[in-house]
Amino acid sequence: MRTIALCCLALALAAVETGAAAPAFSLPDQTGATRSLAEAKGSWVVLEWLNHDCPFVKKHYAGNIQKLQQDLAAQGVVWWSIISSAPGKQGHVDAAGAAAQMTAKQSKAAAVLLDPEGTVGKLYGAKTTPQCVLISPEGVIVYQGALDSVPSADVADIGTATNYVAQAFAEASAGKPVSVPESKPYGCSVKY
Amino acid sequence: MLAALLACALAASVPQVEVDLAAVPLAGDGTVDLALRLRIDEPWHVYWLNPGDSGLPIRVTWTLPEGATVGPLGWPAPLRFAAEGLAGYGYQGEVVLTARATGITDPRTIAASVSWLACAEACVPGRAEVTAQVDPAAADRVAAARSEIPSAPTVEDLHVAEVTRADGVLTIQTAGTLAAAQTDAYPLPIDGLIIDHGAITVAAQHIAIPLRGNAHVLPLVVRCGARTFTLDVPIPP
Repeated sequence: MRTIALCCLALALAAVETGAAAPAFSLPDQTGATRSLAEAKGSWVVLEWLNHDCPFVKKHYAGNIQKLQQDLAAQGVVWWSIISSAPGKQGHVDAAGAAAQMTAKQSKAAAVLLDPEGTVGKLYGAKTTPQCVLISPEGVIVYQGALDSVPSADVADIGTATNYVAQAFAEASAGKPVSVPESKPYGCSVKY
Repeated sequence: MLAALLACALAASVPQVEVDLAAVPLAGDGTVDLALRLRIDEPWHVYWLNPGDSGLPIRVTWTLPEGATVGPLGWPAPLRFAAEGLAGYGYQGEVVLTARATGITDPRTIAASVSWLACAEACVPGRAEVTAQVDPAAADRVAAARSEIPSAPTVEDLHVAEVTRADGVLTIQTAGTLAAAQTDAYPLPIDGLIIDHGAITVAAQHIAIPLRGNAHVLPLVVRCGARTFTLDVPIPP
């Protein structure tokens, strides 16, 4: 292929099917505790791929995502941000750094999980930050893709966009079919 | 000396993208060819109509005088930027998007609002407002850019012979005199399809595209060396 940068054959991105079981994983969080998807079974879970240096993440962390995290937490949803940036690459932080960011950005996530090897990112086919996955209490993927419907780095677009995560949760938790079960994610590439 | 070094370091973290708009009036009938040029500092790149796994396409909003119209943008074929299983499509150095406007009495009344995402290791959004400058010499620039827009191939040169879909992969067999020389493929954006751009493989007469979702047709740009073509690939359900 005519490429600018040769890519090394690292672990390939998997594809997770909406409607299939969410793949099991465990990762350390910003306090050093281990979090596993198994411990959250019985709750709705949101996974949100994160890199605070990415302009698309900054767009949503200007208040939009914190509000959603808070609204969903009030309804019992477990929200985990995941940082899959490799050491030395943009967005990578250690546990202390992740904890400091949570405070500085007023994140309302339950935890930030550290995935510097990129194992869980690639397991879930995470391509961009932000990118979200909504998992039912039964452990099934109900939605995956973009946080909302307007691909841009402009905060002004949030007001006119449909928030796919909020919408999927509202529909699925009420037992209704999810109108948008998957969308193309937008953002900066995950820095594996 | 230290101030100069610091200025250098700061400059490297912010991409320099220069945008200009040249207008080439044609034959005095109100038709004008437009060349919207973006010049991008190394090592940054900007994105094609389909940015790929991440990024944002260049966006252009025209301001035209009353009664004038402008046709669709012509996009030169992109290059692939690949890293760690992800791929984007776009341009480095320079890209010229072309368009043709009609009903123009004074080309200087044409303006464009342009936005882009420039990425290297980091990504930085940018925007510019430009007004057309009349420049008959830019006809060469327009012609060169247009020659890089993918074209429909003759059946003899390249066509789709067979398409199958199984296990999440769309497999395309191509045929024609150029099919053995194909080196890359860039999907156009289609609603309803989620494509794993970083995992596309291209070999002689064979293209494999991992994808999910449904659509009737996938428009695909196929690169055979320096030449690029558009193929409409029917998608089995």
